[in-house]
Amino acid sequence: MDLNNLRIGLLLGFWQLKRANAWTTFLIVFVMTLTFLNLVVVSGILIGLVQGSSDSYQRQYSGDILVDKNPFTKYISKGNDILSAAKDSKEIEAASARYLEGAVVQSDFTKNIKANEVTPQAAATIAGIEPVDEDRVTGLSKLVVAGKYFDRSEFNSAVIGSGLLAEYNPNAILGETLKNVVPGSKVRISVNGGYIDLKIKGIVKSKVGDVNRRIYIDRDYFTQLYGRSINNPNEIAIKISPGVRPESVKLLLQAAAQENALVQTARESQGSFLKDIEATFSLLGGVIGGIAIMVSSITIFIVIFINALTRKKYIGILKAIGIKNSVIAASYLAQALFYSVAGISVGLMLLYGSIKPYFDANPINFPFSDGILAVTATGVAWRVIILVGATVAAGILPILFIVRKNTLNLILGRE
Amino acid sequence: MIEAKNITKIVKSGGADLKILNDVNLTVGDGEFTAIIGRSGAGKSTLLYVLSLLDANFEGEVFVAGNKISQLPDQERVEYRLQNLGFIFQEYALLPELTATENVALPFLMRGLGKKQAFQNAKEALAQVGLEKKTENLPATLSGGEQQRVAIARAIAGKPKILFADEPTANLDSVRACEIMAIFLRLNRGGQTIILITHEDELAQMTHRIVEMNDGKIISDKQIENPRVNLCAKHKIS
Repeated sequence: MDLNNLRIGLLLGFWQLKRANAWTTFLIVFVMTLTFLNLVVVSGILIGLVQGSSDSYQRQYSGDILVDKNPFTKYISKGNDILSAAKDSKEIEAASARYLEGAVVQSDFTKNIKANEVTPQAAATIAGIEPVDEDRVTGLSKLVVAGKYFDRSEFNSAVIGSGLLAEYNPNAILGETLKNVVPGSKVRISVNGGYIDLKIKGIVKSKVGDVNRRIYIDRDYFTQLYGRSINNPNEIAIKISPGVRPESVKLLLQAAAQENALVQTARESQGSFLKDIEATFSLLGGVIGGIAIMVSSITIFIVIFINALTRKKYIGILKAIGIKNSVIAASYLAQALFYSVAGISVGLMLLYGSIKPYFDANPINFPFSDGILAVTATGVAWRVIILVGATVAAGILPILFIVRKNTLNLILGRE
Repeated sequence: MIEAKNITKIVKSGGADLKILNDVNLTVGDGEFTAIIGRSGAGKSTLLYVLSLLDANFEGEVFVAGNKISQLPDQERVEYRLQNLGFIFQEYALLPELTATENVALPFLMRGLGKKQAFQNAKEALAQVGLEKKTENLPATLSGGEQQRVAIARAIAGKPKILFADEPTANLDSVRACEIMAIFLRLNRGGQTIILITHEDELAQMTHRIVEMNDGKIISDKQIENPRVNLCAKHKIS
């Protein structure tokens, strides 16, 4: 098609659109807007569920880099070397070493129990942390929902995850949660065949299981209780400076850790579960988006096809007065393009003007994550391209079919 | 000059072959104003469609200025019509969402003129048919006669070699019909070749030649020595 034909086709399409029924145009654009939002928002929410979980994991637990013990060792060896390297690097903003031991925890242990009752108890992880460092990496103090966060060298005090408390988990079964634990009450934990009592100073709540089912105590108190060396943490969470690539920090820390620890980016440390869910939800989003594209394509196909069918006579007249098939096709192409671009434009305004800001301010409260709307500029751009392409194809096919018919038959309505 | 040689058109009707045109031969010279008359079903519109390349499904040959045009492929026929032929339909055949100017400007645009020049030419063509004050009207806001005049303006806009008109006055009252005929006469005086289909004897008498058809054949072909161009004088139309 030469440029003149394209120009006339676009002009003809513009004239037809300009004087088309306003309500019909509005309806088609509205359908295109819904299709676009369906394409972006549904898959965005599905991926956002996992994305929200992944973001929480990184923000509240792993930091940007998680230095873990090797799979077949009990602790990290030479943890101080890694912490020194982290403190010396300008690319690292904060680092928090964690020392972990398993324990059985009891609540209500001073209460007289009846013969058919048991003392509430649960298996938990005791985490020795340096409270200020931990707070700088994961903002643990901001997760406190009752009581207070604890200070450095505050022995005998603990912050407990709400995942261990029956009041926060009404559906938990016996043996998984403690009862009647509030700030100020005491819990008893097993230590080296004996036990100690800890005063609960605060309760933290997180949707990250590793955060929510731990009892946090001061690092020095922990090493004293369990006889652990400060040089042997179980994990070190690292927060990197803004704009720094995690991969470069990983290399730096790997050099410091050598064979003594496993250095992973947050994403690498998440394991296959979240990645598999993300892949599955991504696939689901793709399938739903594919259906949305098919629906919109069929809608545009029907609209253009009916429009062309009812205008067969005029298409014949155009041919009769010397208008080429390519010009007629271009005029319908212009209309299909208008419908898709107008629908997508309205959709983009709604997406970035209200829907995305709304989800950012009000994440969906799912049990395992705060569901956000995961939309990226690249993802949206691809969907725009796909939708415009599908619409144009659906719009041009019926007209190519009709415009090839015999001119006289079109004018006289014989076909 | 347009020349049709041995034109035969057969269609299937109820399983049987029906000859709509039966070995028709016709030559119309440059500057002639020819009327083709006949009863309904005589084959006059079919012959016009064949001559104007709107119908390609027939036997025989059509020549314009000595060039055989009957075997051109579809898109070349479209281009040939654009450059050489004008066609006026009985039911005006205007595009309803385009103004009078836009309807007439389309063929100019197709010939490669810019929008501004095409619109100016279209307005001049509309002025030729007395519609200079209704250039921005949509067809729905024009009377039947006015719509037909827009269609004429569109057909003559490119100064076609031959102007075909298929019962252009059939839907008009006598006054409007005379207005249309007055335009045709004026165009013909300027040298325009016109082939007009009509079933109104009175209008046919205003042309140079009357070709009568029946059952797909030409049964008479008369030259009119003195066309009765004043038949519309009673309506004070010249």
